[in-house]
Amino acid sequence: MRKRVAIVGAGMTYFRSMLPMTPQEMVYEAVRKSLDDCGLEFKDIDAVVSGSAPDAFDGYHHKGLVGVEPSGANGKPYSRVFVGGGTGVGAAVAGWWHVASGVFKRVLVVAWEKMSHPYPHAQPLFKTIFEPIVEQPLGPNLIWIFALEMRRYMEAHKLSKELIARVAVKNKGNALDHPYAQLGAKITVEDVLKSPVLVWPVHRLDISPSSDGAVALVLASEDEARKITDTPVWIEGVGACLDSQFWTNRDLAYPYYVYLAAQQAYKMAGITNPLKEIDVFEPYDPFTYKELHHLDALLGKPGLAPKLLEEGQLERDGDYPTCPSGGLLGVGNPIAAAGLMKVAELYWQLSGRAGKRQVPNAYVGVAQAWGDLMQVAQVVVCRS
Amino acid sequence: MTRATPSRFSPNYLKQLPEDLAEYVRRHGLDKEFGRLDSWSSSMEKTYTEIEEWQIDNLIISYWHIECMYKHAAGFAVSRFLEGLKNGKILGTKCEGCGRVLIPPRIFCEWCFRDVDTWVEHPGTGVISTYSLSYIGTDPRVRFEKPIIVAVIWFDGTVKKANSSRTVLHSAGILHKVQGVDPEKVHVGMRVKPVWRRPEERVGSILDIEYFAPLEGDG
Repeated sequence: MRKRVAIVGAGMTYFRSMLPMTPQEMVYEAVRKSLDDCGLEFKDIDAVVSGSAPDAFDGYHHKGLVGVEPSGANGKPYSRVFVGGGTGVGAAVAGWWHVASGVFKRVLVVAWEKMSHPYPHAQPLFKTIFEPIVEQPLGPNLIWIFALEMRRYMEAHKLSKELIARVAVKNKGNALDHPYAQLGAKITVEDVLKSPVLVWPVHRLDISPSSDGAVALVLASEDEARKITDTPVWIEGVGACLDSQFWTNRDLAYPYYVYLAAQQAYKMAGITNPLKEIDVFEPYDPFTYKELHHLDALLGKPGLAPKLLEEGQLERDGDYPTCPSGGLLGVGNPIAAAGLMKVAELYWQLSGRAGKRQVPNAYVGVAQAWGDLMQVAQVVVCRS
Repeated sequence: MTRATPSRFSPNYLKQLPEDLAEYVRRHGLDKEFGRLDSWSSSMEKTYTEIEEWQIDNLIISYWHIECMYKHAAGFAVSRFLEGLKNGKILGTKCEGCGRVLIPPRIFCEWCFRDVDTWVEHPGTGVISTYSLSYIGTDPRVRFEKPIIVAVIWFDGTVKKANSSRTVLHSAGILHKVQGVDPEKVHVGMRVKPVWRRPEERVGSILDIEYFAPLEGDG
């Protein structure tokens, strides 16, 4: 019999292109804020789940260990989750396992990334995510896979670059209200289309920035959560799914694995019609089209998200508020921390603490992250 | 404050080092990296509103010069695939369970979870499933004047669709480059064929196919 799990506290650092802090200092700041948020001390925590992306970013192997001291994990069970870009939400899912299993009562989930370490840029490191024998010899860069997927998605639903660019306008605009955001801005569709083409159809402003940052959440079992706070946000459903490593054998137009992960989470949460029952959506948006691509799968209706965007329904005051935080495009993309930021946003939205970003009448929300070679989906459904 | 690494890297940096260490630094081109202060300062020219006391003195630069060599085992399936490429052939495996042609080949089917040992040869003609125009290479600082056309090629006769929809469930296919066509004219669904290197140039690599080119009458 699984236990009910609540988020009782959250904290995060600024997301910036370069923070003058070590990963340890960033983790400490986020963890300290999350504990202060719910009035706990590190000795109250039973176990720590951490998440961070490849070691190569830090030039330091076993980098999971840098999270131990600053999360107060000495002498406690500590694990590191890594599923590429899906790591942030994946860490929240793994934290849920810890508490739902009944083994632990209070679990800290922390995710961080320091992408400013590699000099001059993190991009060359991404080449090594490609298959070494038949793909790496072609000299790939990370943006290729997004450009290929975006083109296929545009073809499937006859989408224009102009429409997709509105995601950047919306998210960077939303991020203006996020106190920790890196790239909040008032921009226009034209700005996006006029920004340099990196790998067509991807322009520079279609892409989230590389960032430094950390986010922490405190999870608790039901009886503990009731003692800690009056406004717990319940993690009611989780889902995780992988698709084939052979991505050239798949149709990239629809992320069916995201659909499957979402269905797992909805089933657990008792949601049958996500369009009617969910108030806030935080799909993973490292690139503009990705928000629509993932929202299609979260709604289970290929091609619906672009229509909702066109009608203005994805705005914060629309019927389907999507990325009210500002998402990765606006708040920033410190890989693992960006995913956990989305779960933290659900916590703030559903407990009514999102300040200027607050979506009215928000009771149910879904956050999702995606990663590896276009194949990982991690989904969390929360309810207040 | 004392530091193991000097906090400020000046063009005179090498002079501060013992001669044998300096020689090592020069030999591996590290002096150029440390000396490149212009690019550092330009990367520092950003606004950090909430952060005070931001200064280059607080950065410690470390420079990797590690040569990592890897010997990847290509494995049973891909070794035979590469051998085929050397001979100008595209080889794949075929699962007798679901009937899928698997390219890149594997020796097991992840749908049926069974051994696969039937080999098939494919002429290499196919369609562009999706493509992009890359203005940058692996190093994002290098910008190409003319973009490379990168595409996923789906091989003819291997596409499996769901009965009830247009969704493609599987296709044998690989990532490769397309040439011989104006970037403006490439489209999803364009028919292409492989262009091989001369037999004496082939080494058993994915690059034995130089690129894919449009079939006559398309493009």
